[in-house]
Amino acid sequence: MTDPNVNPQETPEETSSSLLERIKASDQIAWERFVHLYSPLVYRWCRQAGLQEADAADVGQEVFRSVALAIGTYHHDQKGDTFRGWLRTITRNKVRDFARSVGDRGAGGSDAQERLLQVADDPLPEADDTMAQEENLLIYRQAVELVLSEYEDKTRQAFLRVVVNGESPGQVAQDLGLTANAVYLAKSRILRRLRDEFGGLLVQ
Amino acid sequence: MSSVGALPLSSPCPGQDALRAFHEGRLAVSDLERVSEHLSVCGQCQSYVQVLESEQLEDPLVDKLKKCMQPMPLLEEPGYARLEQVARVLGGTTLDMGRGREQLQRPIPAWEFKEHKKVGAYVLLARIGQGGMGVVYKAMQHPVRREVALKMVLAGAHARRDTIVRFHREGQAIARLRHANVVQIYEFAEHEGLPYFSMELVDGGSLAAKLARGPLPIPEAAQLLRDLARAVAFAHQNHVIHRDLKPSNILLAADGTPKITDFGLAKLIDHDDVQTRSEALVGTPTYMSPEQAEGKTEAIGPAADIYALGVILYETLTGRPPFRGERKAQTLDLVRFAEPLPPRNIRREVPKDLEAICLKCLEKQPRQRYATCQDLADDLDRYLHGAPTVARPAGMIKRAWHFAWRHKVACLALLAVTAAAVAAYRLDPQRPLREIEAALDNKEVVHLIGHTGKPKWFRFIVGEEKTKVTQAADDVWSIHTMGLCLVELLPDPRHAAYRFSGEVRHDSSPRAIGEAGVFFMHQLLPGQGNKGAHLFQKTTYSEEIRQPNFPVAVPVPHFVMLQPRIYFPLREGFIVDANLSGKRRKFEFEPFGKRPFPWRKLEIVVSPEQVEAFWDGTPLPLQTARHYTEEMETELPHLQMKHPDIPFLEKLPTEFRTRGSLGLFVNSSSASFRAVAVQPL
Repeated sequence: MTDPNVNPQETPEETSSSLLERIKASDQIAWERFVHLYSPLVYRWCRQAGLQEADAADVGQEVFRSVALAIGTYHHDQKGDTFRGWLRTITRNKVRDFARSVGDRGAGGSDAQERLLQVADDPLPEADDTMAQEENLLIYRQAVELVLSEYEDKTRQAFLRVVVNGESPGQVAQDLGLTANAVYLAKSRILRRLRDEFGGLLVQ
Repeated sequence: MSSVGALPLSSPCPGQDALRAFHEGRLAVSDLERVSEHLSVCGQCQSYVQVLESEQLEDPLVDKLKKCMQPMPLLEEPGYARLEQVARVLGGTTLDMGRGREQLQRPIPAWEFKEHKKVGAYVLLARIGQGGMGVVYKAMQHPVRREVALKMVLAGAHARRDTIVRFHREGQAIARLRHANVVQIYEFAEHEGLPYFSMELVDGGSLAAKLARGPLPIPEAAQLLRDLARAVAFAHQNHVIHRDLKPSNILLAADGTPKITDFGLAKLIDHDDVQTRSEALVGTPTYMSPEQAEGKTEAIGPAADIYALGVILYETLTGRPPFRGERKAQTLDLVRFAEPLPPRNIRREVPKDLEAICLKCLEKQPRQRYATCQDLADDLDRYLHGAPTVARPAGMIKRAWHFAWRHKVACLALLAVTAAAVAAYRLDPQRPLREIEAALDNKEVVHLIGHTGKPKWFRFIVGEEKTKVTQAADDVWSIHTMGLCLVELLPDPRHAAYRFSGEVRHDSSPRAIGEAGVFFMHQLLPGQGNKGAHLFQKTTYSEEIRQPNFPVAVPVPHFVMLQPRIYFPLREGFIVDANLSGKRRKFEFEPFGKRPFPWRKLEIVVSPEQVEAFWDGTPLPLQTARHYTEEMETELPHLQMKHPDIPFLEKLPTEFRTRGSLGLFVNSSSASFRAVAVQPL
């Protein structure tokens, strides 16, 4: 089940270029996969900018609304531009809009000066290497979750417990009411699938 | 293609390389099954795999998985869950390039009705009606040629995949309910993206229609309720709660058999609401249990159904429900706070035992009602057979008796007083307010909220559907709201000069605009389009700690502010909500910094010339009548420019009118209140 559009050498978001094509074609399933991939990142950016939970959720919605409207005109081919950079720019703008609106209602009145004081120059500074790594991990995680969601509950649980938690297959088999071999099969099957999907992304 | 079934009895061992590949997930998919089957019978290969497993060799993929699949607190936040949920739905209506901005619409879903339209295995015959939850059609099922009812479920425009899946899954539990007094559900299905279900056609009308003609004969009422209680008990035993029992949900067959419909459906459609936390009060609160009316959704269980049955019993006996105000808000107050008038006061022939059963169902505390619906059914059965019932009226009168018996001298006097007070209270739920107004007319201080406990009287002016109130173990009364909430404590201070004081504690807020405090000088203006506009003044502050640990904070200073405010909710998505100047009337304070936050004392002294405000003893800059008028007149043009299509903004009154209603103001927060008082000056 490998996606023929996937170049194993690409970074996680470049993998989603085929996803973007499908979104442009108004594919609802593709859109939902896209949201699942990127909402943690957008949310994280909003929270990093100092927004509280409910506000981050609101601003995040605005970001995705903008993306849905603008995706038709997004082109992936400019050198130096990445999809993530584009997304980040939208998020930065929405955070600034939000900060301004808080100024309107928070401190009262239409005093433009006061409002400007409240918006940091760049609420979302460029990510340094460590942050970039963390962001990659977030996207990767969501991509893995998308793959895992296609499996039965027990298969998925068996896999996660043995591979991520390092539990003994025998114990997991007992807990889930499976044979030990079923657990081995679950692990083998899903690992194989993940290798196919993301094999080339292990460089980082 | 691997053959399913027969295991090759003597399949050779795959060899160590293959086993290693299997273990690492590098084996081709077509070989996976074969090797796995072999493993299930070959002990030698099994132990080899076990050895491999315990070796735990390096594998970069596994390492990466271990790193990224760790639990992440950020993803546990409810804000994140809401974001993903809403963003997924956005795609459905906004993904249309080059067509300009579109508002998110939520059209009422229904198939376009065409006679003989084919829906699944059914052919539509007629549109029977529209219930609170959806349109109902009469249809013919093919090939069995059976007449059924098809009911649409209003689950938001073109329900998402997982909603439909969940609908099917949970619908199974409801479809399995087979009982003579439950409308049989045949199947849950989906057509053109809209979920629906087919059910038994019951065409004798509803109990609501029957009750419109008056109360029922007493034996009939008791039998009806016993049968209904048995049906509900049966459902409870099968883990289905109705949540929305009312006479319009009780259909009558041609022979008079009652059949309950719409079981558990209220829960099915709840989740689809994009505003997951705003428990919108749909329909009438008349049949709602007090815990439902307060919005305590966690507390809603079988007891809510028992309560509803009590309301229905009351109505069949007396011809009217126990609590019915002129408006929904009043009904809600009555449901929450008022004691029901005993049925015998309305209809003398109602037997005491039956009345006791009815009142036991209507207890405010769920645990004081019948423990199970079966108990209710059994007690009704006992009544019908002339046996002694379990229910006994306990309460104020009885307790007064116990006390009085020990102090026989005062006995008669106490009885008289109690009876009078009870009678008066029951006949006039507005009594607390009248007492407050009388005291004010007498120039006395009135305590609207005591040192603990809830207000003597209150009413939601704005935001009731997004708000719940709680009273904690220590009796502290708190408001929790997702949006803007105005709780009126006093419609009219009866004087143009008064002192309004109280203690506020801003407990928490998930939003930067969260604030809490009091409002006063409130006027309801005609607004436009049948929607009133609220003009008032408020003194508020926010104690919520801003994000200290994130690298770049968007700083929102902590101010206490006294300012006029306009709130005009024309419709969802189109709300005018702005402070009107007053930026001078504020001061910055140092927030307490850690929880629990402290109580703050607010004091407002109003007179026809000015407003003085104090926060924790510190005065805010004085606001004179002239300041108010001038600042409003300066600020209004900006507001009008921002909303050119709202003409009434040009006619906002700018006179300094101090005699307006007053109360509590909370915006997107949890806040607690105590010791609130008004003193005429």
